[in-house]
Order: sequence, then C-alpha cells, then structure tokens
Amino acid sequence: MASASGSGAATGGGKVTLTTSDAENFVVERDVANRSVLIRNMLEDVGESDQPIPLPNVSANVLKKVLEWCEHHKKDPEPIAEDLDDNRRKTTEISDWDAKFIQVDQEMLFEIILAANYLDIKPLLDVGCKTVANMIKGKQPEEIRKL
Amino acid sequence: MDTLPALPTELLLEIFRLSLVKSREKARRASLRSYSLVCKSWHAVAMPELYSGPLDLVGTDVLGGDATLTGRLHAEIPDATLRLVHSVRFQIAGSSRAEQDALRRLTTGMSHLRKLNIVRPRHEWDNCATGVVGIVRACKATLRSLTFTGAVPGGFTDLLNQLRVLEELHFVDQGSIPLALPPPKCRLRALTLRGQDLVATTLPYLVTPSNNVLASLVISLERPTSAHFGNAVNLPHLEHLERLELWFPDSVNQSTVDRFSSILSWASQLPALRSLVLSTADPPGAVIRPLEYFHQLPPKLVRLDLGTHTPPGAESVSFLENATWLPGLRVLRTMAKYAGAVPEYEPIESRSRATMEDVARKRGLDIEWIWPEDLFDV
Repeated sequence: MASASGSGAATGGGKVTLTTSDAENFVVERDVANRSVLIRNMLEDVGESDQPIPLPNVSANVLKKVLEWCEHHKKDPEPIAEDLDDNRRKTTEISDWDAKFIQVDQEMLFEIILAANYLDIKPLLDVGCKTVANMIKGKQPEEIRKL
Repeated sequence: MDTLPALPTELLLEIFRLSLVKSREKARRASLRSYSLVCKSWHAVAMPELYSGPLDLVGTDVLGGDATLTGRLHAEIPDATLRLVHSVRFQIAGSSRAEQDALRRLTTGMSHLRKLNIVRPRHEWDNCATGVVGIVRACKATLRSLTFTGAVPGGFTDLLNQLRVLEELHFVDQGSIPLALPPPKCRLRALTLRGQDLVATTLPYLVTPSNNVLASLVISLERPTSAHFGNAVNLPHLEHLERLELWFPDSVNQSTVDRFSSILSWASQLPALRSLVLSTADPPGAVIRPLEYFHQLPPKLVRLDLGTHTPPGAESVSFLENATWLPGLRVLRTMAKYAGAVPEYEPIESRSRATMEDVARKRGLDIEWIWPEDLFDV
C-alpha cells in the first residue's frame, strides 16, 4: 500500500515516489504505480533513477484514492485489445468492490475520473464513467445540468 | 471541479454513450435529445455530434465518432473550447486558405489532442503539410492515436520518433511510406496497414522485438502478386497479437489460393490470437476453399469472422461439424444467405441456417448472421 512521506524522494526495493500537485510524496510499489500507463511510461523513460515522478494534475487526496484502487487491482490482467474489450464496455455494470470504492461525493467522483484519465488508468476511468452514466440515465436535461 | 461539463469532451461522449447501453429505442432517442439540449446549454462547441441538428438524434452514430471540425473552425471558437477537444477528424477538401487557417488554429489551440485523423486526397497535400506536421508536433506528448488517410507528410519518420505515447497508428490508402532508421520509440497496441507493400516494409519497421506489444492489427493486401506472407522471414513474431483483420482482394482466384494458405499459416503462429476477421473484395458468397486451410488456426481463437465469404450451405455445415480443431471458438460471424439469391433458394438457405445453428448450439457456439440487406442498405 502507498505511504505518504513528507520529505525526500528516495526510492528503493521496487518502490517509486510520486509527487502530487500539492507537493505531497507517496511511496508506492512499482506494481501499483504501473497500473498507470502514464507513470509506467515515465518510469521507463527515467530508467533506474530515484527521481520522484511529478503528477502536477493530481492532488494528494485524489491520488490517495486512486492508489487505493491501484493497490486492489494491481494483479489484474492488462485490458485486452479494443474489439474484444467491447463486451466490457457495452455494460454499465461495476464489480461490488469497485461500486463500494466509488461511493464518494460528486466532486471526488469527477476528480477521480480526471485523474484516471490523466494517469491513463483505463479500467478506473471505466468505473468512473459508468458511475456517472448510471447517474444520468433517464434524467431530464434540467436534472443533468445540475450535476 | 464538480460539474459534468468540466470533463473533457471524449469522456462526456463516453459517459453519454454508456448511459445509452441497453436503452430501448424510444428511451435512447429521448436520452439523445436530453444530451443534445444539455450540451447546447453549455455551448459545448466541442461536441458537434450532439448538436449538429435534430436529424442526428435519430441514430446512435451521433455519439459514435470523432469530432469533425472542418468548417466549424471558420467560426470564432474560443481557445478554451478548443483545448477541450481531444479527438479530431480533419478532412482536407481543397487546401484552401480557410483550411490552412484552421490548421494553424488547431496547432495553437489543441496541445492536448489525443486522437488525430487526417483525411486528404494526395494532390491536396502540399499546402497543408506544414499545418498537419505542426499539429502533430504540438500534441506530441499526448497523442495516442494517429490516422493518415491518403498519404503521410514528408519527414514522417522524424515525426513518428517524437510521439512517445502513441498507441494506435493507422495508414489508409497509402502508397509506400518513407521510413528510415531508427525505428520509433512508441509502443503500438493497434496498427492498420491498408496500402500496397506496407506489410513487407512497414510492419517490421514499426514493430520490433523491443517495442512489441501489438494487440490489434489490420492488414490490407492490395497487390495479388506480392507474396508478403509467403516470404514472411522479415515479419516480427507478434506474440501479443489478439486481433487480426485481413483484407485481400480475391480469395477464390486460383493465383491467390497459395497466398491465402500462407496467411493462415502465419496466423497459426500467433499464440495469443483470439479474434480473426477475413475480409475480401469477392462478391458475397464466394466461398473460401478449401476450408481445410482453417485447420491451421491457433486453438485459442474465440471469434472467427468470415465476413461475406461463406453463406450457409453444405460446405459451411461441414465446416462447423468438423471445427473441433477450434475448441475455444465461441462466435462465428458469417453470411446468412447469398446476396442477390433468387427467392427459390430461400427455403434451402433457411434449412442450412437452421442446421448450422443446431450444430453450433451443440458445441456452445454463437452464430452472428450477416444479412445482404445490412451490407448494401437495401
């Protein structure tokens, strides 16, 4: 699981440090961080460096939540090719754990969606989008505008 | 940020799309109308699919495609709105001054672009090439999907090497592509090669052992005489490939039969292959022969799409009955009948369909029928 650290950027033992927009550091296992395609690509680019990975578009409270999801799903297989993925995308069903995880206030829900989009975590993005889709289903324009 | 319109356009579209899942037609139309009204009230210029007119509300395609911004860019659109656009299909119609201006605006306003689809006739390239290259450079840090229909700009290789997060690359109607070392650093998950000679030259260039994560590949073989797969020594080993779509001009001409065998032989060496689509320019109903070629396919195959090749008949029934060599197959997509068949054939074809469905049911297989009227919109 991720641990927040107020100081240095040192990493080791297969861990990486992520720095949020509000300058908080999170030290997480590489497996967990790798759920984000963006972070995975950045890690590949920097190689074995101990440099923290800056995430200027994600605040600490949102990243904490995102990492909770990544931790739970760290052993999930990678999403398969687009067309075979269609079946998953054609449903708005969400697993029990994800449904409980995404029971947050509306502001946090949208922040998680934006973070998942930025960090390129497609399965988490799916969970967020499906949740909003279920919220707007059958609603009148006025009701949707209030979201 | 706690409001829906603050989400990027592509996510809004995805959410709207998801909310239509399993909706009955009436509810779907009501929802589309709701979304259209909502977006109008937000002045969401970035969502032309939703407010381009009441006619668009009829079909689900309203929400299905990329934003086509040609023409709309002539109007004054705030840069803040442009920044919301993450997906563009830009059709260069005549390389007019207005288009060049539009390209310049895109270059400055769309640094967050993730998906770019450039459609242009080859003779309309020169005046717009700089603009297109400028767009690609501007969004090189975010661009995930790039499609060129017509031709690629000069210096394409240099351009490609700057696109580190590119995951999808599609070439449509291409001639040869100017390539030079070093190979690109991006790791492509989806690749389309529709054009002459692209397989033998471009595929080994784009996908190397060090960057090979390719999961989806669409290949079009336009020259019946070029034996790409018959001489496959240069092709990379696509160990992660899950979906392969092959288009070839003629499946029944004797001169291409051997090549077809080579293609299927190559497909048999793809250990992760789960979905195979075979498309052809043959008239619907032209049967791929011999069906024994399919015996070479990898056992993990879950979905086999025979396109318009194989209508119901004795051969197709036999194909299914003997298809125990594909133990994992769960979906077969094939023609329901011959296109243009005389009405007298219908009882025979109907019986064949019933037999095929019966055989398929016994082995836990779903058949997706393709009807000629769906193909030709009769």
